[in-house]
Formats: sequence, C-alpha cells, structure tokens
Amino acid sequence: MVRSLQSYVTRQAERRPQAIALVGGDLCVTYEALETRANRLARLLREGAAPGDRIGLLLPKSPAAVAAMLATLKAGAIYVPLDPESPAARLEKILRAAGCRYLLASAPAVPLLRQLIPRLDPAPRPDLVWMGDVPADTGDLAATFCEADASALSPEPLPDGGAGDDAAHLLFTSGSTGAPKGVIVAHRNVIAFVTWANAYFGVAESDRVSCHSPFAFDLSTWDLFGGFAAGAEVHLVPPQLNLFPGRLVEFIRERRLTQWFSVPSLLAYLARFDAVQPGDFPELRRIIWCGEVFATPALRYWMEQVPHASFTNLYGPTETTIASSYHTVEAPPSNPGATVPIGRACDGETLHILDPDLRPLPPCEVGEIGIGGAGVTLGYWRDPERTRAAFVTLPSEPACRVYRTGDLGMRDREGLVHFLGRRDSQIKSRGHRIELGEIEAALLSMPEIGEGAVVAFQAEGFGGHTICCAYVAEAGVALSPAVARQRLAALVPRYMLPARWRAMDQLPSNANGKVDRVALREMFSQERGEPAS
Amino acid sequence: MSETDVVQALLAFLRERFGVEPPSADANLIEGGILDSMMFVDLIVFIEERFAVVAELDDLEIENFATVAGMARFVIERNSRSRPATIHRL
Repeated sequence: MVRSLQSYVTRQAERRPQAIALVGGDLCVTYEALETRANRLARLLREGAAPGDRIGLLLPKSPAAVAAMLATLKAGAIYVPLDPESPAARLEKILRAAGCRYLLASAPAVPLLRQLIPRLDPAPRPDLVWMGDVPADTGDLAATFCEADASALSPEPLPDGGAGDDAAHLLFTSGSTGAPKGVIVAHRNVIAFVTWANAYFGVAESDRVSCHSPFAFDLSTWDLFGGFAAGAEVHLVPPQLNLFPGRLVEFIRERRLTQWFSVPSLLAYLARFDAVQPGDFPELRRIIWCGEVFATPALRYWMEQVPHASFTNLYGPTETTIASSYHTVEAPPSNPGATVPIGRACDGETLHILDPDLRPLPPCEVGEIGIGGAGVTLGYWRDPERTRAAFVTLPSEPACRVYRTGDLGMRDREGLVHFLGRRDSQIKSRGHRIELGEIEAALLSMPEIGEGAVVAFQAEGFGGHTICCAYVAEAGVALSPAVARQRLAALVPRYMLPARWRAMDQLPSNANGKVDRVALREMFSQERGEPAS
Repeated sequence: MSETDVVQALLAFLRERFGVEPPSADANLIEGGILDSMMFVDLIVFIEERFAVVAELDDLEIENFATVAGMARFVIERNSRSRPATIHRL
C-alpha cells in the first residue's frame, strides 16, 4: 500500500531503473536518474528544513522542478510551486503567506528574484538555493547553497519523509479579497485520486502521458504522480507552444502521446484552427479535460478527428484534489448549446446538491455542489476562518466533511450531475480559476485609479470568459488604457489581465447607486457583437 | 497599402482593443507574454477581415505572428497573391 507520493518514483527506480520517467525539452530522464537526483537533494534540504517546513519552487516547467518536488517530499517538507510568470507583487503575497524555509530557483528566475527578494524584507525570508547550474550573473543575490553541494551525498532512498495525512504541497488559488488562498493538499488526497484515475483509465507502463498544465495548478499533479505510479513516460509540454496550434499538434504527433489531459480551452483553440488532420495521433487513446466547460462544437470536432480515443470530462476544484467527478462521453451532445454533464463521483468521493441550509436537494433541483470523501483537503493554509466557511459538515451526515464549491449544479434522473454556473463572481478563463474581486482589488490599489470595475462575459466558442476593465482615472491624472494595463501587470498574473479596457468619465451606476456591472458587461460584449451572458 | 500602413493599423488595434502598446513593431509579443490565446484569435480575425487575407494553420508560425512587423509582412506578402479561403471556422 502506497502511503507517499515520492514512493511511486522509488518503486519504479527499483523495478525498472532505465525506464524513461520524464521528457522535458530534449532531456529524457530515467526513473533511476530522477530518484537519485531527488535523494541527494533531499539530504541537503533536510540539513536545514524540518518536517512540515515549506519549500518554494520558482522553477520553469522542467525535470529539475520535478526533482525538487520529490526531494522536498523526501525531506518531509511541503512544496509550494510558484508560477515564474507571475509578477513579484503576487509572489510576495504567496511567499509571505506560506512562510518558506527555502526558495529553490534557477537562472531564468534571476530578474524576477531581483525584484522579489528585496520586497520580502524585513520579514523572515527564505534562503535561496540554486537548482542545476549556478547562474553566471546573480548580482547581489546570495544563495545559501546550490544543488551541486549535494553531489557527494548518498543517492540511496531516504527511509522516512512525508506520508499519509502529512501535507505534500500548498497550491495557491485566486482569492476574492485580493490575497491568494493556499490549499493544503495531503499525500493521501493525491494518492486517492491517482488510485481511482489510474485504474479507471487503465494507465500503464507503456503510456506516454502529456503534462500540459503549469506546476502551480493541480491538474499537473495527476500527470506527474499518475504517470509515475504507472511507470509511464511523462512528457512536459513547453508553455511556449500554446499559441501555435501547428506546433502543439506536431508535439503530440512526434511524442506519440497516448494520453492528453488539459483544460478544454486549449483543445478548442486547436479545433478553432482545424489543426488536427484525419488519421492524426493513431496512438492517442484518451483525451481528458478538466477546469471548465468544453464547448460542444469543439468537442464534436475532436471526436470526429480522433474517433479511436475515449473522451472524459473531469470536474473538481483544487480544494478537493485534482478532480472529484467524471463523465466519459459516448457521443457529443446533439444540440450544440447543450453541455456534457460533470457526471458521477469518482470512487471514494461524494457529490451533494445542497440547499442554502446544506440540506440535500432531490433530483432535478438546482443547488450548490458540495464534495465529500477522499479528496477533501486539509483546508486553507493558516486561514481557519475561510477554512471553516468552506469546509463544513452536513446536518444530515455529521461525519461527512464537505467542501462547498460555490458551483451550482443539478442531479438528473439518471444520477448524473450537471454544472450550471457559479454563485459568485468567480470565473474561468482558459481554464484558470479567477476571482474578479482579486483583479479589482489590485486595480483599486493603483493610486492613479479613481473608480474601477472588472467584469467578464462569456466569449463565443472557446476560452471561457473575457475579462474586461472599465475605470475612471483619479482627477487630474492622464491614464491611458495601455499604461493602466502595464501597471496592473505588475500586480496580477498575465492570465488575470483584462483583455478589454475602457477609460470612462464615470462608471454607469444602477438604481442603488452601485456600479452597474450588467451595463458594463453589455458595453464590452457588444464591442464584438457577442451576446452578454 | 504599404507595410507601414499595416503596422499602424495593427498597433491601433492592439491599443484600442487590448490596451496594449508594444515598445516597437519588432517587439516579440509572444515571448513578452503580451498576447494570450484569446487575444491571438481576436487579432487574427481582425487581420483577416481588415486586410482580406486568410491565415491558415501553416501560416500561424512564430516567424509571422510574434511581432507586429512580422504580421505586417505576412499581410503584404499574402495580399500580393490570391488564395482560396478554406480555413475551418467553428
């Protein structure tokens, strides 16, 4: 019985040391190489990090980042994957909240670190550790040690490390008040999903699985640990391919992938450009998506182009680990406006449709989706208030701890659950979960902004929501949308940056004197002649 | 229409639609993370409609679409010959 995530790799390294574990760029890494690299680094980290300490990973999507995750777990510590594309201001919030002992970084992060490290003073700040080669020009950035310092240490597996209920990683998601929330994911949460998913999908040694999601998002957790559990090859998809449909399909062809898992907006983007040729991807057996609704016309395109693959929709927020329900599609919905159900709970998990008093609703009634069972995480890092509000027990089943998703859903007469939108202003844009409140809080923190509002409308066809920003500059300040956008880019990640901007003399208000968000949505969506959602 | 006219039209579109002001026509909008996939689609639709060209899959390469100058060269080059419009639209 597996109790820790790192043991998946140890087991493969013992059984099939020369099998390929990871392919990143031109680099093929065997299970043995990954295991010994992680073992050495873990011994080094253990000298300064105690069990339960947090270790931040500011690393590009690479085998080095995966070795750093494993080493952290082997040291009994908790890794905090950080998106190197995020601005320093947001990373600062995450690092302050997580309180990391070490920050593992490499050369591409040097310019970002130069901004980030001074911002962390005078608070206790993490010691810097260079992964891989020490960057040539680090300026005044002083690292405590580097990975090469571990080269003389034993490559043998470490006897202990984190397991079971211990936290494995913190994943920070968008928070409506402006501060990202850190979800505490335990080893056993991930193991429960990997066990179900690998059995359901039949993931095997012979598989070559994609890893498309960035490491700071939890879909990548299954790509990595699901792949390692099966002894499969995990192929890291370079993020710079994302905009070029031709290159992305070429990647799937050349790597002869057998499993593709991503947000649906990416699949819809490839469909938009008719990038898949008939007869493409003869070895691709499974196409799996999660994170948002897959537009039916794009799904139909994929099912027609790759008829030999199975198509499965997964659903579930980070708070309940990777995904909690599934639905394998036999045929695309006949009505292009209809969407695929989120389906039934994965083994060991439960889906509840709840009224506002958390009582279960009968079939065909719409309520909030609650999720219970093996995926329910430990809560939000050092935030008991938000944890109590979102992780509750049901009056009808006091033993059952349930996460309130904020999603609306309905169970049909066949027992399949359907997703019907949000209770609040959280949106999905290209699979990213975004609180409009976080963007608005960042906008309003800019001194040049007098008034501002961030709204979103549903774009046609693919990609989820388009984020839009209307603002009124502070009296006497000239602020063009281009400058406003640039300022905001220093505060929020790129995927949260509004795509549409409008400088106004005043924002429209409704009868209550509040900003009229409906009118703003109309204004932006009509810019393109698309209906407001 | 000259290449400079196309560059000006593209810069105006980027500014007015997205609030994006590239430092120059040669600035890499992809590596700089300025364009995302949704903006990219909007931009291609604009180029196709405004300049009556069709961008096919093989055209969507970094050489053509990473910079405003590259897009302008693509438009001029494509305008000098005519091709059937066959791109699949969802």
